[in-house]
Amino acid sequence: MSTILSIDELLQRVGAQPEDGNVWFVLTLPFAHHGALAEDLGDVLEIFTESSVGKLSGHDGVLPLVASIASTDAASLILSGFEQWTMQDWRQLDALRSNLTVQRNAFLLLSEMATSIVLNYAPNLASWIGVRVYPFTYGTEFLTVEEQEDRLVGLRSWAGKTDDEIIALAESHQLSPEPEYGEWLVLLGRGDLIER
Amino acid sequence: MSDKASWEKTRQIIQSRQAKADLDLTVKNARALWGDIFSLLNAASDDGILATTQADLRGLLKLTPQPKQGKNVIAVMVGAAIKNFKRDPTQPHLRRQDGAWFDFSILVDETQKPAAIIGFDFELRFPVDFPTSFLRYDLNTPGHNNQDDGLRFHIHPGSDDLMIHSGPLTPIEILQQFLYGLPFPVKPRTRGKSRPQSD
Repeated sequence: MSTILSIDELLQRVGAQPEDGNVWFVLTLPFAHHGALAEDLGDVLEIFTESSVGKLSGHDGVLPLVASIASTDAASLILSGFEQWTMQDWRQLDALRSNLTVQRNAFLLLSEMATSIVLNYAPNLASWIGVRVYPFTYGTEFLTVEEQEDRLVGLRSWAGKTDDEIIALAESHQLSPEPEYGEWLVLLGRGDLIER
Repeated sequence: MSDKASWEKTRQIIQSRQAKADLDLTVKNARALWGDIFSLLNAASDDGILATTQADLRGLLKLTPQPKQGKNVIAVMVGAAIKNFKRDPTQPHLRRQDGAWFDFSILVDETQKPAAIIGFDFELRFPVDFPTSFLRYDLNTPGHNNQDDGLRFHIHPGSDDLMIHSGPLTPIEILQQFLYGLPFPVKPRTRGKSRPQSD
């Protein structure tokens, strides 16, 4: 079974690829996360690779997508919006595989079902993608609820105050501007109380 | 004017000068800042500057979750669970090959357009046989309290009680300084931690 990736590990794998590569990755994760991942990955990939990143959608079908891929000059592509694609759509894209041969890396965001269709019914694409099919876990870089609480425990112990006391001080504009107190408010979901 | 009053006025003048410095603390968003920092740390690990391996880096750089609705302030930090007030080296941190180690926390206000860094703390801790125990950069959050002491952007030179005005540095610049700009000297001018006795 392929390694389960998170965004930081994906970036490190991308960093290990040759610069003029034409490597496609499939990231398999629930459709509900595709939009957020496309945005996040676009932001960090642009910085990490120091090159342009294009975000394209398969929402309008195979031919518009192929045309978009051929016409963009982005150095890397994030491709999503395949939730309506049928087996026939993937077969059509597979037949047009030679139109996709441009020196750039691409990241296909697919559900588990779509991944299975590609691997079973788009043999050219599957061969090109090779082993780079990864179950992807979105959001591992965000603090969990437990981790947020642990940081709050540390802040309460450091300051000798309760959350309610901190909020009351912030609301009365008496809270110290030290950054630790700003983080405290953020962890409480009250970043709005940080004075601007 | 007394010397003390004169210094308090000077403190405000210096802070005002800092505010006028060409220091761009805007970012696209907290996620982009996270990517910038991860890229820098990954390269430093690759360069052999960081003892923290690329595998160790995964899961070390964290963000507070995005709000379900609207925008808010996001914190970007090293180490998930515990804010390391006690300077405990067993807590998650980044470590240089020479033994110096550090962590940080940055506040990004995404309610502004563009998003902006509004506060941070970066602390570099030195090995026990180094004359200085730590160096910390603090950017306090904005607000009227800063006008009182004139030290919104300051450095703690090895003491939580001593503060001096800091030059204008972005978080990325501070990290670059921690990684590449503060190497241990081959022939240190100061040996050990003892201070010379006065006559």
